[in-house]
Order: sequence, then C-alpha cells, then structure tokens
Amino acid sequence: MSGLNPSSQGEASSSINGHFGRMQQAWVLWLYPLLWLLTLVGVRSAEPQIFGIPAWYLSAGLLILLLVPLNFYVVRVCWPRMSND
Amino acid sequence: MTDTALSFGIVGAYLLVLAGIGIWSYRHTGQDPVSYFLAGRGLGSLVLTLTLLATLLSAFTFIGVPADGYTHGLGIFLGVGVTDAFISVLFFLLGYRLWLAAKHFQFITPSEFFGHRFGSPLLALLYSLSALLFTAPYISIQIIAGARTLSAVLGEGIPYWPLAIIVAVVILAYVLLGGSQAVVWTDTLQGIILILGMGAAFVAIAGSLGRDASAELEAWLRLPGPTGRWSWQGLISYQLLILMAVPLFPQIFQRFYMAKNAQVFKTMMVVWPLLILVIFFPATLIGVWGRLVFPTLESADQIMPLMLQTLPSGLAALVISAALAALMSTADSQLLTTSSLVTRDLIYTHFNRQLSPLQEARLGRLVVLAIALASFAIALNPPGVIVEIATWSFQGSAMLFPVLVAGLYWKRTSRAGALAGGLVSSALTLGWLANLLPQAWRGDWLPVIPAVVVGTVVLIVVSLLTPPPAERVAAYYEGPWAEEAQELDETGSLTTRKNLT
Repeated sequence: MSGLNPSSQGEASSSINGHFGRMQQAWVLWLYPLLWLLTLVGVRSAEPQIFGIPAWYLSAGLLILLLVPLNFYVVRVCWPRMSND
Repeated sequence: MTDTALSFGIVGAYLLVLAGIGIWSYRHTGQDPVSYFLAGRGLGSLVLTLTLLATLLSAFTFIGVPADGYTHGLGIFLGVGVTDAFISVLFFLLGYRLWLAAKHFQFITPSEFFGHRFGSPLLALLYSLSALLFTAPYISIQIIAGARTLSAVLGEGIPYWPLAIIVAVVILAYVLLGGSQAVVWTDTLQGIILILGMGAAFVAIAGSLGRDASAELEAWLRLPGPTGRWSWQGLISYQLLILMAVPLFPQIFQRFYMAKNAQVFKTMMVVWPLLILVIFFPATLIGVWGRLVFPTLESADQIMPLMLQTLPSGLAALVISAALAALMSTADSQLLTTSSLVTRDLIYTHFNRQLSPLQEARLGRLVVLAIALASFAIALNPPGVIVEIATWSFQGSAMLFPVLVAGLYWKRTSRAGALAGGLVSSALTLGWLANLLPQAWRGDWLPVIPAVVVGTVVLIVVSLLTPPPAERVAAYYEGPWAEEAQELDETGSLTTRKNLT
C-alpha cells in the first residue's frame, strides 16, 4: 500500500507514512476488496432461499455487517496518531 | 376521510416541526459564513453521522431504488447499497484528510480545496461549474418525488404543482432561516425518521409478501436480472460510479469540513455500514416484492408510494414522512452547498468582490432562493425517471475523482497535470452524456468510467513532465499538523514527532 503515498517509499511496508499522519498496519486495507469480492459469490442463482430471500442477498448483508468490526479495527489500530485528536 | 385526516395530521405536524427548527436555528446561530455554511465546524459524531446519512439518502434511495428493484431485480442492492457501505473506508482515506486540510487552511467550499492545493483558480472554477450543472437537476428530482409521494398519501384528487410548492417552500423556509445549523438538525430528525420508517415498512410488507416471492420472481432474485442490466460490466460500472461520486457530491464533501474532531470520523466509519444496511436491504426487496401486488405498473417510480398505500394509514403517514425526510434532507443540503459555491467561489474569488461576513450570508440566502426557483421550474416538467436523472447527475460528480485522490496522496501532482486530467475527464464525460462523442468508444461502460481512466493517465503523464507546486506541497505535507504528528515507537508507546521534513 505504500504506493498510496510516495513519501512512504523505502520505509516499512506495514505502514503508510504521510504528513497527514502515519497509518499503521496498512495491509488491513486489502481486506476491503476481499470482502467486496465475497459479496459477489452466488449472485447468479436465486436459490437457496430463506424466507423468500436468496442466500446471496442475505450473505451480502452479513458481509456489510462484517465491515463494522473491520472498521472498528482500523479505527483502533491503523488510524494515524495525531496530537490534536 | 378519517384516514386522510390522520395522514394530513402526521405529515403536517412533521412539516411544521421542520419549519420550527429553521426559526429556532435563525435565532441561535451566528451569521458569519462558517456558521451559516459549516455549522461552525462543530458537529459531533451523532449529528454528523445522521446528517451525512440523511443527505446521502434521497428520493433516489426511497423511491428510485425500489423502482429499480421492481424493473431490474435485486442487483441495485449490490450496485448501490453494498458500495455505499464500503464508502465508510473513504471517510478515513479521503474525508479525514480533507477535514485536516480544511481546518488548517480554513476552507468553506469543496472547490477551495482544489483551487488551493494546486494553486489553480481554474480548477476550482471547473469543480464549481460542474457541481452547479449536475446538482441543480438533482435538486429538482427531490421536489418531483416529494410532490408525488404526498400525492400518493393525500389522495390523487390534489394536483401535482401545489404539492411541489409545499415541498419547496418548507425546504426553503429552514434553509433560508437557519442555514447549515437548521439543516443538520433537521437532518438528524430526518435520519431517525428515515430508519424507523423504512424498518416499519419492511416489517409490515415482509409479513404479508415475503414467503410468496420465490417462484414468480426467480429472474428478479438473481443477477443479471430480468432485463440483463446487472451484467458484470453493468454492476462494476455502477459500483465504481457510486464509489467515485459520493465523496465528491458537493453536499457530502462540505460535510467533511463540519466535523468537530477526528473522533467524529472514527465513530462514523464504524456505524455507517449498519445504517446503510438497514435502509438498502429492505428498500430493494420492497420494490421486487411489489411485483406481486402491482405487476403491470406504467411507471416503476410509483411502486414505493403504492406499496405504502397497502399499509395502515397511520403507519403509511409515518413512512411517507420518512420518504419526505430522505428527499428534503438531500435537497436542503444541495441548496446550501451550491449557494456557497456561487457566493464564495464565483462572486468572491472570480469577481474579486470583498463582502462582509453578513453580506456574504445574505447573498447566500438570495442564491438559495434563485437555485430553488430554477429547480422548481425543472420540477414542473420532469425530464425523466429518478434513477436515470440521478445516474446522469452522479457522473458529473465522479469525473474529478482522480484529481481529488492525487491532491491528497500524490505529492508529485503538478498544477498542469491536475488541470489537464480534470479537463480531459470532464470533457469526455460531458461529450458522451451529450452524445457529442461516438458511444461505441466507451463500450458498455457508463461514460464516466473510461473518462476517468483516460483523465488519470493524462494527469500522471503531464504531472511527470511538469514541476509540482513546491510551496503547496510543503504546505500540505509538512504543515503544522505534521510537526505535531505522533507515531508509535518500537515499544508501542506514543512519541511526538517534530519537523517531519
């Protein structure tokens, strides 16, 4: 993820170093496209269904729910430390 | 008659409360631009989250999404709902950085960021003009949908235009009187009503229709849907459009400036996916299930109001209030932000007129009135269905996405590169939307997708060939916040960093 900011080139790959602040454990950002890809699983079929709702639709909803703990982790661990927070 | 009186009572009381908030805010808010346009940069987590939610969700969500589900199946949930949930990470990657810069450089409008970061008034003007061009029709959609929604509840006997006037006048009342302070407080109320209303509608409708859906609606319950709209290319095209457009909506962009502190972004990022889920999950299903009750509608946009008519009248009035909340909260924010673009960017910057803060706030109110009248004129003769107009409007916002990302993350971006990339992306998008360019060149993609790709390439190439604005790069990447930034040392404890040059 160092490509997000040229100033991070040559530094530890686990963080994004910018003067807007330094992001810790930037590899976590890759979990977002992974979750997005999972929302596409099974979308070509209307079966199986639960209460008349296709399983892929329910699982996409559950994956959105998974964003809550993932975002919580980003906020607690990855967010740049700034003295004015 | 009793049912109609009850509906009138609930919806009327709701509209009166909104107007009351406007009057209260007028007496309790400052008249300077930061107070009028940015609520004094003092919004906490709850209020900013709800105003952002209510601002993002509009007639497009409440009426357009069920209508799209009715016609094209459940794909709109992936196309818009899932993408809107993933946008929460952009609060961190884009919104937080914009807030830092706006706080330090005292930006009020979105275009001030573009103009200042690249030292280019022309780039600021490009953003302002595109925002005005693409936002005005979107405001009119809210008025159209508001009038039609009221008509569905209050009875078909009432003509369309008086209802459009009621919606426009109530929005104007609290925007003109209270500015952003009134807008964020009404948004907070509207956000709560929106969530409760959609939840109530879903429970009531699912209870009677949900289990019957499987056999008759098979094509609507899977991709690419009965019309083939949600092919892989169609889906990814739409997801990219939403991802790029939402942070650049002027009314969303400006809300990033309103946060009181960084904690607001953190809270918002965590709760946002949940809020999006409880709105989009039911909205799409209600539209698809609507086929079981109204299989042959002339206009798909009618489905949500018609489904509401199947509910008990008191509940229907509550949900109607939620629909009105969705569209009015978007329209008020759009009016306020576009007026700030005109007063701050066009008159103040480009015509070099020095105005006192009070004059600026007064001028802002006049501009709100003028834009509302223009939008109302469009609403009297609607140019198309909601999703089509919204998709057109979203592309106007998305076309400057590469410039925004480059401005926040790529030091090497030069003024010429940003300007060239922005102009090429905008020209291609407008060219395709206006049918001035061969449609075959863009394949099956939405126009803005190839336009942004070409614009990004131009931005990179021109930036590499021209020098970046050294003074601005230093100001943004070595600013006071950087000098005070802290990092975790090897032992895991916080240490203050100084002079990060």
